[in-house]
Amino acid sequence: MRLLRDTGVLLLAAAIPALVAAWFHPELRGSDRMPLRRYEITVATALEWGSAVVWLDARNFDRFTRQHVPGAMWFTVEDWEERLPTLLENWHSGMHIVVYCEGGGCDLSEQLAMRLRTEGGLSDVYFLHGGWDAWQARHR
Amino acid sequence: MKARSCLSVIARISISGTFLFAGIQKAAHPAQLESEIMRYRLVPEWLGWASATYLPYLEVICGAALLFSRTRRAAQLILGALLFTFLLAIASAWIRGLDINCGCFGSKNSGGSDYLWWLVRDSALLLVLCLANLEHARHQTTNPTSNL
Repeated sequence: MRLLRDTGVLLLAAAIPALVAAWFHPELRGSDRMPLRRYEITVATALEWGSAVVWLDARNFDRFTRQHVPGAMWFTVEDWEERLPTLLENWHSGMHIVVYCEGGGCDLSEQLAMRLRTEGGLSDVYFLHGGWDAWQARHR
Repeated sequence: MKARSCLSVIARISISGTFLFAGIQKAAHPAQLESEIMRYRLVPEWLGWASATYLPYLEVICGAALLFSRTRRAAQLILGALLFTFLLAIASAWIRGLDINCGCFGSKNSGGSDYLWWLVRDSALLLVLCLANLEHARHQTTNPTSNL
């Protein structure tokens, strides 16, 4: 009986900070909170992977030349045939591929990531939550 | 006899530290944890969010509760159930050939799917937890007034 009561107390005790986090933690709160979709990662995660990441910029060439993630390759769905061999030359097993486009509203990065997974046969491909905007916000 | 009790205490402190560390890591990156939970393809989105919000704090609370004699058994029960659930989830992802991150220690994972290591590690933790519980029960039977 005491075991049951203590178990209940611990379960409830954990709910208190969880509720506070749900309300205040920036990754959890707010009506506009977007849960990460499958294969979507945050800038923080990509940074933790460090140098084991091949960055792909799926924005238009003009924006890419203006500014991009250091070391990123320009790769759009339209130039698939031309770009894929170059990507495969730069990628080796154990490296993550992270695709980004302009910001939260674009879906080019997700399209490209999914195509690289399905048609390109690559399994470690992700797209960046918040895209280039999120990267810039993090490095401001 | 004393040596066995000492080992039991060391085991409890180790498991406590492991869950405190894991819980704090996960609590700091709940969105990442949610994403990793969803990659197991076992729960709907709302439950993935709820788990990512609640589980880190449950691990922290139970990790701390392991250190106190009054709450030790309840903490062992909950952590044992959690470890068993994690083992089932990892095994099921392995069987289905999913490409996942463990999600076991927040976002500090390498990114690859090292199923065997995760299963061995969680099984070892569960075994140590059970042994510590058995030793504690045996100790309580022989020394009912002890708080060890």
